Amino acid sequence: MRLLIVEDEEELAELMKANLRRGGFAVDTVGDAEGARAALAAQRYDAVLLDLGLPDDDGLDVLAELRARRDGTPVIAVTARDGVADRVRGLNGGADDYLTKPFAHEELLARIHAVLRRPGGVMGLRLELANLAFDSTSRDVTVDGAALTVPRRELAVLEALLRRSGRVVVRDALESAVYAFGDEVESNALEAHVSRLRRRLGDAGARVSVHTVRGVGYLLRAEEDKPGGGD
Amino acid sequence: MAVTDDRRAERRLVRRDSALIAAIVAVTVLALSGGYAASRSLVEGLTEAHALRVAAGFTRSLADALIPFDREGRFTGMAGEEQEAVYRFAREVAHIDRIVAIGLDRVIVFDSAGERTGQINERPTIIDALTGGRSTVSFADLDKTAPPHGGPYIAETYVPVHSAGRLVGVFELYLDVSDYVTSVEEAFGTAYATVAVAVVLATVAAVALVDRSMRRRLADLRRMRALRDDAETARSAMERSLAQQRRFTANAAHELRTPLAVLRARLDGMEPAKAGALVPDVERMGRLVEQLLSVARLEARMVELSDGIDLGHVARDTVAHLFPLALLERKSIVLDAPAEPVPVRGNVFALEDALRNLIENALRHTPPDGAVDVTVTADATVEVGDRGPGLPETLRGQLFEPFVHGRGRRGGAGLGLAIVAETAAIHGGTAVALDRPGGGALFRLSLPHRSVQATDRSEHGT
Repeated sequence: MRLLIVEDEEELAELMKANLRRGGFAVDTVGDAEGARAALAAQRYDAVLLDLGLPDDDGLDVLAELRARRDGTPVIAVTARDGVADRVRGLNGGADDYLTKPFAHEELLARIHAVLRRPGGVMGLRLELANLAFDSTSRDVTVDGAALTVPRRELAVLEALLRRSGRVVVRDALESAVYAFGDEVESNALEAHVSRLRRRLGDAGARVSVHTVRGVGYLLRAEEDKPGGGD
Repeated sequence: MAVTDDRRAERRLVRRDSALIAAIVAVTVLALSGGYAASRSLVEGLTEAHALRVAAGFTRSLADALIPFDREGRFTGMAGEEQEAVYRFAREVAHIDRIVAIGLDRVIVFDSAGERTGQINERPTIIDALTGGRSTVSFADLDKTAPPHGGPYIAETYVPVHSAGRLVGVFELYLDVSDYVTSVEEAFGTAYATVAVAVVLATVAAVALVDRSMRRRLADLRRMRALRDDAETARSAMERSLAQQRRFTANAAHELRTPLAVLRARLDGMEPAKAGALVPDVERMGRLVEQLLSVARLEARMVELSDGIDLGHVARDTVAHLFPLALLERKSIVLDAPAEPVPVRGNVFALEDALRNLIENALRHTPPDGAVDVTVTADATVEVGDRGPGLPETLRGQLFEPFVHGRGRRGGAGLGLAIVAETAAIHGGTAVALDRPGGGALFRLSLPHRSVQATDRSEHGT
């Protein structure tokens, strides 16, 4: 998995590079827009971390050129500039995600994984959380390696939650994942699916929990290690 | 450009008023000279009328007593005491200097002493005088030496002489009217002088008034210009300072976030045992920087509002974003929002930021296993309630001021509620802190309700 970091703060670029390398990524760094253009022309990257405030050009210009060439390489815009307007410009300008400095390495990793898992992204064949695993191609679910049968609609819920594990998935997003366009959606059908899924995962011994965020949606995360608890 | 406009306006004002003054002076001069000419002709008219009256009276009163013509108009002459009396009367009472008696066949001229001084038999002269038989008068210079209007004024009058209803001749009488002219002239002179002085005074007053008004308007013009220039200067100074503040905010954002990002990346690369304790500190610093930048952004008015923002959506996104953090502290956030959109005019990021601060504030005062309640209502308010210790009595009025720690230092920098208040103000709304029924605090952010759009939506409903 090859990443390009476009960042003019050398120290930050080196630290990000070191942290991402430990995560198993191959990482190139460039310090300006010209370097970014050269690197993107010479090499195919799986994702680009693009700082918007470059010394020689606006990072958004580099992004616009990339998209103008119909190059869909996932791009995460990174900025230390003051956010609001930039955030909108960045996302409108074709960035897949947006991060404001400072950010935690875990957050960065999560965003990178998220863009890689997107339809068309290179990752996403296998989603894992604690002892739970899901293969998005074969659509098999395993807990501690043992197969678990999950009905179609519950599986759609699980996949949507797993793709954004640790974050809240809003009801609308879940409903559109579960029901095809035009399906009749009963008012509390989603609750029923989630509660059946929750029971099914619990019965199978999956160390994950589905939290209800009342009025908003659901969140899937690994259960905290409770010494002596569970099992 | 403004300067030349100002100059032009000033010049226009001066030109208009100067023209007005010139007109006033011209009218005055015309009136005065016209008045003088009129008074001259009036003096002459009056004198003529006077001379005719005297001459006619003289002729009439003596008509029967002294007719130097017989009924056929033949000259019969005047003589003796009678003649003497007539001449004395003529000389002393009527100021008649010379009598020319014009008969049908001859003209006899007497001087003021009654001596016959000449006789003319030329018929054309006689016929002219007789056919012009009406009373006429003209000024004549008796001696042909005195300058006109200089010496005695002599009125030459022709008075028809009738006898028994028939015109029998003409008296050409020379009257000395100097006294009369002098007295009339004196009267007119006094009146004229009085009027002239009044007119000149009025003119001077009018000119002074126009001039003063012009000066005042010029001064007003200049004062207004000075005021406008001051306002312009102040405005551009303020704009400069706002622009400066914006640049500063943008630069500060970059300069503050970059070292924090480096620090954070460095900590993330270290062993958790070494870095662990520092991570929350860096996060807290990061959050403080974000809040400071929010305050700066709000104060520099870098927040643009747009229509059709769904307050329910804003609340859902904010709760979704904060829920994982709450979960880490074994706390929860519960959202209650209408299924229908709650449209407001606003800025999504500013509103999210404000709500985030309210929820973070409530979370800080919520014990583990407790929940923060976020309620959105259809009339565009968001309430955030907790079951914490409630509002401190002493700081009630200052809760929304920067760096005021309402309920003890619990991790917040004291900027959160200031951001909420400022965001409310920018949206034309209000932020209030209340005691929550049943214990705890309740913060309410109310935005102007967009009822028009609400009705629009209800039309689409059902």
